[in-house]
This record gives sequence, C-alpha cells and structure tokens, in this order.
Amino acid sequence: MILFLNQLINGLHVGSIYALIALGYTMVYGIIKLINFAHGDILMIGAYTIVVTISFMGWPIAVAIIVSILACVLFGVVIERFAYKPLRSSPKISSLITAIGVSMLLQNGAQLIFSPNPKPFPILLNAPPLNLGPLQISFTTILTFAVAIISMISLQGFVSTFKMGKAMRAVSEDMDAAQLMGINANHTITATFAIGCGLAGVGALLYCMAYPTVSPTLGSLPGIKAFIAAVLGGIGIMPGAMLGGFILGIAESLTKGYISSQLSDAVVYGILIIVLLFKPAGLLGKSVSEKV
Amino acid sequence: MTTKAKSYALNIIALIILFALLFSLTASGSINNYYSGILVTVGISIIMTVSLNLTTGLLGQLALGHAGFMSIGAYTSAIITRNLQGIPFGWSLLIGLIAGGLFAAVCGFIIGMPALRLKGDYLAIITLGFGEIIRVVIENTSITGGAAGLTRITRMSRAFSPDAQLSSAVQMGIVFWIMVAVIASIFTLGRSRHGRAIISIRENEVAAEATGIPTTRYKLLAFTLAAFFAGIAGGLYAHQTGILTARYFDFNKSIEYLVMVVLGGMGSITGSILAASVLVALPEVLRGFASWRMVLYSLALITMMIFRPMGLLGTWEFSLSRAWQCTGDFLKRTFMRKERKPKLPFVPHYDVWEDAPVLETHDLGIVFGGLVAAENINIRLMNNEIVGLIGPNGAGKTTVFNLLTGVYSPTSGDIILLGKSIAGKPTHEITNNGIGRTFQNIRLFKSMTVLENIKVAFHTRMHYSPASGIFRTAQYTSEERGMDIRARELLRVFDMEDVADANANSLPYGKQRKLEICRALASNPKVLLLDEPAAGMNPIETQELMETIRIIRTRFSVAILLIEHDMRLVMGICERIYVINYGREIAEGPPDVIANNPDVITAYLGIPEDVHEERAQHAEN
Amino acid sequence: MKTKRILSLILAAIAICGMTIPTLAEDTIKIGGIGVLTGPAALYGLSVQKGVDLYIEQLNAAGGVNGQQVEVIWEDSQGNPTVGIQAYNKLVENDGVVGILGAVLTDVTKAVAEYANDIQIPMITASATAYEVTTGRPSVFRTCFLDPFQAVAVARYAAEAGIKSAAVLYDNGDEYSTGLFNAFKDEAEVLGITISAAESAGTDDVDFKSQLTNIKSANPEAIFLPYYGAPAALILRQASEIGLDVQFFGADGISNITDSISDMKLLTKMLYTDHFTVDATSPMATKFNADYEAKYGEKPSVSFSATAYDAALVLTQAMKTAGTTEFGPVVDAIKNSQVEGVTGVIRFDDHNDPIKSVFFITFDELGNKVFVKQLDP
Repeated sequence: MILFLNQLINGLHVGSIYALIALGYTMVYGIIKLINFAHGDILMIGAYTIVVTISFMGWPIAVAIIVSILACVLFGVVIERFAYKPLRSSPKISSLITAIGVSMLLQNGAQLIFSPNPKPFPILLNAPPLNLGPLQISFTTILTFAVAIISMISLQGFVSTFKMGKAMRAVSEDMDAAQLMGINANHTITATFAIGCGLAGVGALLYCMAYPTVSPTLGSLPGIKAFIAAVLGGIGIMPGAMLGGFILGIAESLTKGYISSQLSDAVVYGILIIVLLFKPAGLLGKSVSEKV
Repeated sequence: MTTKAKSYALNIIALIILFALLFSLTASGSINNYYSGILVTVGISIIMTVSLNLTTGLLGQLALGHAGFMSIGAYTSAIITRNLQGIPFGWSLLIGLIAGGLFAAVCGFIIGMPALRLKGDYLAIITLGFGEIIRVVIENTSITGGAAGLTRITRMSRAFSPDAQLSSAVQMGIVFWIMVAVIASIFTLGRSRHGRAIISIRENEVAAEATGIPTTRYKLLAFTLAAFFAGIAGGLYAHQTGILTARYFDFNKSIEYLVMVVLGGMGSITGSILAASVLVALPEVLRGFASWRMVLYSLALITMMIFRPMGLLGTWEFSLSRAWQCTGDFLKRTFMRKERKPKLPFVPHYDVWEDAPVLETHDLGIVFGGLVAAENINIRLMNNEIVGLIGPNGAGKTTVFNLLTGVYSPTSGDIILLGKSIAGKPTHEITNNGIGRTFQNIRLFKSMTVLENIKVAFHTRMHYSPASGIFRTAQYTSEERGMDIRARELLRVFDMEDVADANANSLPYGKQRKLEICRALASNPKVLLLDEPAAGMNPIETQELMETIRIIRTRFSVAILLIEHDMRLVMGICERIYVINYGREIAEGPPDVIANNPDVITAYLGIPEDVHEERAQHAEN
Repeated sequence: MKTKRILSLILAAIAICGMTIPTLAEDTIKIGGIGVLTGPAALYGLSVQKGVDLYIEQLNAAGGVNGQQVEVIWEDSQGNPTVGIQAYNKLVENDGVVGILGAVLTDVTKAVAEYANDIQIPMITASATAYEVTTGRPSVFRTCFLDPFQAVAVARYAAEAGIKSAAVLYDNGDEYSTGLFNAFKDEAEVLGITISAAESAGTDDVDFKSQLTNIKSANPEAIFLPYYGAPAALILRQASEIGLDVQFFGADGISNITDSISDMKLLTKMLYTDHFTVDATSPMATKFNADYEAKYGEKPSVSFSATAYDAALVLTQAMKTAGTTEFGPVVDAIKNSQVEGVTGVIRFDDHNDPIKSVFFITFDELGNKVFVKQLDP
C-alpha cells in the first residue's frame, strides 16, 4: 500500500510537469492547429537561461527565473513571427515540417553554443522532504503539483474573463469570423505563443528541479510526452491537457513500478491508442463530425 | 502512337544505360565504396520516401511510424538470411526481402485497421505510437538481439562475389532495380482506378464515399502497400550496413522520411526522389562544417519550407513520367499480346416495375443525442419522376439526403431502394446500388482533372485488380480505355468535353455544379439526389439547369429528388413536392396544391395573428 | 523564381565548400579518427579526439613516424552506425588512411569493425568495451578493458566489502548497460551476493523514481548502476529525494558524472571502476595529466582521453616497429606490442584485448576523484 502510494506520488510529480508543458502545446494547437514540435525545445532554452544566469553570472534566483521565463516568451514569439506566420495559409503539414526544422535548429544551435555535454542544473532549494507517517513526499513534488494546478486555474480564469482570453477562444473557434468581429488575429496568436511559451518556461524550471541535468536535447522527451498528454486529454482543450498529463504520469509510474519499465513506453502509447480508438478526439474532446 | 512507343523505348534504354554506367563505374572502382555507399543509401531512402508518399501524399494521411515498418522488414530479412546459410546468398536475400516486405505489410494491415479510422493529427500520433511500440517490442525480444541488436549480417557488398568491387556493383544493381520497380509500381498504381480512388480520398473523403469508393478498404490498401515497400527497404538496409539496432528506427527516423516527402512535394513522386537524394547527400557535403552542419541543415529546411510551402515540386511530375505507361504498351507490343477491345464500364440493370416506387421510405427518422432531426419521413419516388423536397432553412432536408445515402444511419424506419432495404448500409454500397447525389457545398476532387473526377465514379463498375494496375495488363488497358470513352461521352452530354483535362478547381462555379451532377450520374444511379443545384446561380443559369435536369431524366432514365430554395425552379420542373419542417413531413402533392397549402405557407411565412388565436382557442377546447 | 535561384546558389555554394576538403601533402601518414563528435554522446567522442590529438602533436614534435609526419583526419559518426560506416568509407577510400582510431560507441564500433575486417586495416578503439567487438576480427584492437572484466571487478570489490545483497538499475535499451548488468549478476551469484532487485529503464528516461522506490522497498545494501554520468547523476539525485541512502557502484561510464551533478555531496556514496586515474603516479600518467591540462585548459573528465592517447601510441609505435604502414606488418606489430602507456603497460591477449589493471575510484565532498585501489588482472 505504501509502495503504491509512493508510486502514485511519483506519478503525480511527473504528471504535473507533463500537464504544464501540455497546456502550452494545447493552447498553440487550439489556435493555429499546429503541432508545435519546437515547444519542448523552448523548455531547453528556459533551462539553459537559468544555468547561465545562476551558475555563470551568479544572479539571484528570483531574477534568474523571471529572465528565463521571459527568454522562453521571447523565443516563442520570434519563432512564431519568422517561422510559422509566413506559412499560416499553407497546408498544415508544411508548418509541421517547419516546426520540426525549428526544433532541430534550436537543438543544434544550443549544442554549438553550450557544447553537447550535459550541464548540472543549480540547486534552487534544498528543503527537507515532508513526512506523512511512512510516506515521504519531497518538497519539489509538492511545489510542482501546486504550481501546475495554480497555472491551470489561472489560465482557465484568464481565458474566460479577460478580453484577450476571450479573443483567443474566438480565434481558435473561427479565425476569419473573429477577424470580422474586429479581433486582431495576429496579436492574439502572438499572445497565445507568449503565454504557451511562458508556461514552458515555468515547466523548464520544475522539470530541471526534478531532473537537474541540462543538455541540448533536454526538451525532446518531455515535448513528445506532453504532446501525447495533450492528445490524450483532447488537444485544444485546457482541462484535457491537465488530465492527460496526470494520466500519463501515473500510468508511467505504475507501469514502471508494477509491470516492467521496459514496457512503460509501450503502455503509454497503448493507452493513447485505445483512448483514441474509442474517443477519437481525446478524453474530453467532442467529436465533431464533418458537416455534409 | 509509334512515335510515343519510340519515346517509351527511349526511356527504358535510358534506365538501362544509367544502370550500366553505375554498374561498370562501381565494378571498376571509379565509384568507390564511399560514393557507392551514399548512392545505395539514396536508393533506400527513395524507396522509403516514395512509399511514404503513397500514404502521406496520395492518400493524404499523416503517418509518423514509417520507420517501424522499415525495422520490421530489416529484422525479418536479417533473421531469415542468417538462418538460411545453406543456399546461395542471392536466393536467401530474395526470400528475406520478400518475407520482410510481407511481414511489414501484415503488421501494416493489423495496425491500419484500427488506426485508419482516425484522421489528421490524431492518425499522426497513433502511428507514432505504433512505431514506438514496434521499437520497444524489438528491443525486448531475444530473437532480434535485444538492445545489442543484430551484428554480422551478411553484407551485399561482400557476399555476391569474392571480388569486393564486383560485389558492390551487384549491390548497387539490386538496389537500383528494386528502387525502379517500387517507383514504377507506385507510378502506375497512382494512374489506375485504384490510384484515383486513393487520391479521391485525399481530395474529399465524403464525396469519395458518395461516389462509390469503399474508402476504408482503400486507405488500408495504401497503408499496407506502403508498409510492404518500407519492409523491403528495411531488408536492403540491413544487408547494406550489416548491423541493426532498434533505437535507430525511432520516431526521428520516421520524421526524417516525412521531411523528405514534404520537402519534395506531397504527391509528387519526382519530388520525393529529388528530396531523398538531396537530403541524403547534403549532410555528406556538409561534413566539413562539423557541428555547424546540422544547424545549416535545419536552416536550409526552414527556409525551403517558408519559400516553397508546397514542397520543392508541389504535385508536379517529371514530364517523362508517362514512360511507365509506355513501358507496358511497349512490352505488350514486343510480346505481341493481342490488344483487347475497350471494355466499357458495366451499366447495371435495375428491375423496375411500372407502378412500384424506385425509392421509398417508411417512417424514416434519426435522433442525434436527444435532438430529433427527422422523424416519420415517408417519401416515395416513382420511376423517372422529378420530385422536390422543400422546407425552410434547418427543416432537415439535407438530413434526409444524408439518411438516404447512408452518411447517417437512421434510428428508426426503413429505406427501400428497388424493393430492397438499404437502411444502415455504408454510403459506397448504397451508391453502387443506385443512388447518386450532389452536395450543397460542392465537393469535387479539386486537384484531379474533370475526366478523373468522373473516372473515380466508374470505380466500382470496373474489375481490374491493383496488381493489374501496377503491371499494366491488357485488362487494365481495355478497362481504362473503356472508362475514358464513357467519361468523355458523359461530358459531351453536358457540353463539357472541352474542359475534360482541366483541373476541377479551375472551372467556373456553374460548371463545377454540372461536373458534380455528371460525376453522380457516372455511377449509373437509378435515383439522383440533387442538393440545392441552383444555389448561387443567376436566373439564366437556373433556366438552363431546369433544361438540363429534364434532359437527365429522359436520357439517363433516373428518378430525381431535389432540394431547392428557388421556387421558380421547384414549381417549374417538379411533378410532386414534399414539404418538411422541423424534421417532419408536413405536406405532399403537386406544385399548385403545395403552393396554396396553408401549413406550407405558415411554415415559410410564420403564423398570421388571427389564425394563431384561432388555433390557440382550438387547442383549449 | 528569384528565391529559387538564390536558394540554388546557396546550395551550390555549400556544395562547393564541402567538396574542397583541404588537400594534403603526400608525405604524411594519414590515420582516420571516427567518433561521435556531435549529439548527446559527443562528450566521449570529443574526449577520445582530444587524447589522440594530444599524442599525435607530441609525436610529430618528436619527429613523427619513420621520418614522416602523422595526420589524423576526424569524421563524425553522430553516434549512428550507418553514418559511422559512411565515415569509414570516406576515410579509407577518399583520404587513403592507413589505420583507424575509433569508433567510440559500441554499436558504431561493431559496424565499423566489420568493414575494417574486410581489408584487415589496423583499427584500435579506445572505448568500445563490449566483448564482441574484437571477436573474429584479427585487425581490430582496443585499449580499454571489457565490460565483463569491470563488472566482475565491481562484484568482487562488493563481496570483499561484506555486502550481502545488492540491487541493480540498468538501461535496457543500451548494450553497454545490459552487458555490465549480466556480468555483474552472474559474478554476484557466484560470490553469494543476493540480487534483491533488478530494475531497468529506457535509454532516454529521466525519471527513475518508480524503479528506485521499488529498489528501496527491497532494502538492498548497495546498488549497481551500469550507467553513463548524466543519467547516473539524475539517479543519485532522485535516490536521495526518496530517501534511498546506500552505497552505489558504477563502471567506467560514471567517470564524467561530475559534469552533470551540482550536489557533489551525493557523489561520496559512489564508487566506480576506471581505466585510469588522475591520481596515478607513473611518470607517463603525470606527464599526460600535465600536458592535457596545458593543451586544453582542463583536466581530462573522461578516462577515454587516456585510453585514446594510448591507442594512438600503440598504433604509431607499431608502425615504427614494422617500419612501414602496410596493414599486415602493422597488425602483427600491434599484436606483439608491449608498450608503456598512460594507463599502464599495454599488451594484447588472443582476443585482441589489453591485459591491464582496473582502478577503483570514489569522490570527495567537492567532487574530486579519489583513488581507492588498483586491481591487477
């Protein structure tokens, strides 16, 4: 039982990180229907920014965190402007390939600048684990979980209350109609990328606190997992991304703990496949059949 | 024809000369192992890219697990050649390659069956998932060597001859001709009725189904075939490198081939060949740049995508592309095979009794999650009758059409077509049993030509198999010519012969509507459903359309049910009219009766004040 | 149209730049270096490259081989067997090299070795530790010890330290890791150490908490981690997070762990086997350490730079002994060599593996490597 609870907590920890990254994925997908393959690499940018600012320049932690989130936002906006915007009216698959190109560029660029060798991520906090009877929960786990939930709630609030949030929803429903209503679609898309990549910045922080090694390919694994989480929950739907992230994290953790770690990837993909076969638009997605 | 045949022969000679050149240069060592290695890798990549283009380009379904099939083929063939040491390597390689291809195809079939129900990004991720599962399974199986993989696989470049150069040359030849065969098969398949069926799915899946294409089967066919070729490519790869490790067949490998397909231009086989060659050679050329290499590579990729989003070649094909068609013709002439007469598309015979309806519904209805979209619809269509189906916006007219054509399955009632129930049958079967339709918003196969659009509709009336499409048998030729004749005949009736070879989306609006009707008629329906044929037409065009509809009725002997808002048209040509509102049938009768029916007037114009009160009183009593 | 032309110009320019590989004077001896120089595993390739380049520089300064200067041409394998083979073909066919140093990763080395065996070109790898690499390939040698050897050494060390039960966490997708695990398990059973838990993970995994939680519940006295430095750093960190506080053992892959860990205190729990130690006191080793630091401005982080130095040494020495660069005599000379290298005296057994010592190393609280003991074969 204790073992099970421990594995569950492990799963929640990983799941929160996936969920946070998946949120950004889902927002971008929702608005321009693009699988942004470079999203994971934005994570890597955030991680390196923290390493550079803290380990090399010795800035205070709080400043470094803010700078790293801003760096992610900047990269996201610049990438959108120069790589994706020119392709907005092209077939989706062209944008997809461009996104793959951007991802390769970021990884190889980072390799050129920082060398391919992994760098240690600085220790940001060293709080003792929380002891609940025989259960031991590390502080990072609690922090990660809390940050993920807060981000999710505030994002949902933002989207449903603020003008820009409503504009995002409108543009993702129907870009042309939204423009006719006087919404500046370009600004809205930029804002979506900014928020999505900012979340990736937060994700980078939490990810590296859990796995404190930074390398140029750091982003590809959480990127693909978050993408799966987003699809699992219903891509384009924010609570779906969250749900997908947690399911994925817990499924991975329990498979590794009880079945076989060799099979954890197979189980993850298996769950995805089964869900998609029965609910083609993901767990929370609504199947929209094509109007005839 | 003879000049054509000559040019075809030239193409074959060109291929043979190219082969002879490569072979002799490799055998003499002028193309050393380094360059021949690159060329062989290019060849294998071309097979992978062209086969992926079959699913992604022609079928239009995004697949991210192609490397998985490659690995299946690679491991299967490597294990087979390893265990068949007794027989000459050439034979065991042949067996290995074919078995690898077949096993990959079987896996493709098994994976495709559930996966192809999804579309777009969802299909992409599910194929990605299957690809990764294949990798995990290989990594954890002992026969595939687990994490260490397989080593010391007999290499083609050493095994054919004690002379290393000659052996390399043989390897080059094998890869060259397999590549040519794969390209040729995909080329020829793409230009057969099966290829058109596959492309029509990319263009518009709903319309393809309504034109009588069994879409699920064709998706599966394309997917399985692509897996087969990928398996062969994998077998070649295994015997080129001599070592297999599962982790190199991961998602990134699939992406690599996808990039080649998209960069070359989706649907363009020439583009795939070009992109595969460039993207394999580019990293070699960039070797001198060390760690800048991949940065330059990715920058080149992004730039090319931004400036040429449709890929380097779009869907354009090399102008000698007809060489393949000619190969068949040429061979036929050489082997003196007697040419068959053109075989015209089979025209089904319908048993129609004078007084029995051709189409009849009994209390037809459908409920969408509590919302009653249609109920108690009773429509009868007699032979050669023109009947209107009218009603205010949102009354459920198109829903009725969708029920009749099987786009939706009815939740109650029955549909009888020529005495047989068709309720719940898939669309393509209903189409083949005699119902043709057009759509409210035109659904043509836009990037196909006018002629091809019609040929797609002949699909189920023809019989030649995919294999005979690939090998261009006599049956293929005679049936294709028959289709061509019929399609042109049909176009002539509609005065559209002059635009036969134009792309469907280049036609003016009115002609696109006409073409859609043409396509619906090509499947020889007994009942034609027209969904707002006059939408967007000016009065003169509408007048012409009325004339056309009358001609269709007599010339093709069909019953016509049409939805229309243009009352002049409806009243002008319909013999009977059904009116529905809120999913219910509210009136039926000849035009003059309907025009004066108070219920119909109410439905269209709302209830006048006094009548409203009167009814309210009536209800109270 | 215009963009098309510009693009094609750019591509043509790139092509021309790529083709103009610097032409070399004919009087040099050319040796091909193959290693993973880019990508996640580049650390190992670059370390090998640095070790080789250091030796060749010194050799040329001292007059080269048989009166000729030696030049090493490096090609990147990207850690991919196919690319490695392509690199090999280029070196042999286009550059005309007379010997191969590399490759670095096990699977690439296996692929390249098969080709090298075709023409019996002398090839020495400094880092491929899997047993099978040199099997049945008379011209392929290595200057590092083997996986089974170091795993057995670790097991014996553990047994001597009185450990009765050990757990293993290994990478299931990596041959190096699975090979070490199997050898360790077999020897541990012989020595009476119970393997209380054997957990595995995938190659790209970063989360090991589930496995560590299972291991923790099995309550072992020690854990064997046949991993490379970066993942091992993550494992140590996550183990401390879930309160798993036992002795860790590792193999040579651990040697670069200090680059990837920020909490050096965790390393005091780690003990691993290496080919070389910076604390080594032989005159060759001291000189190597000093020269390396002088040339590259840092201490060698992975011991493969030392084994690579030795590999270059053995190859060129054999060319000197043979007095020629012809493959046959050089291979024979390598086979019979008895050279004092940085990592000790190098001679080869029937399987073309070096007979050499293994060093046990641990860390102090600042992350400095501390030499524990040397085990001779």
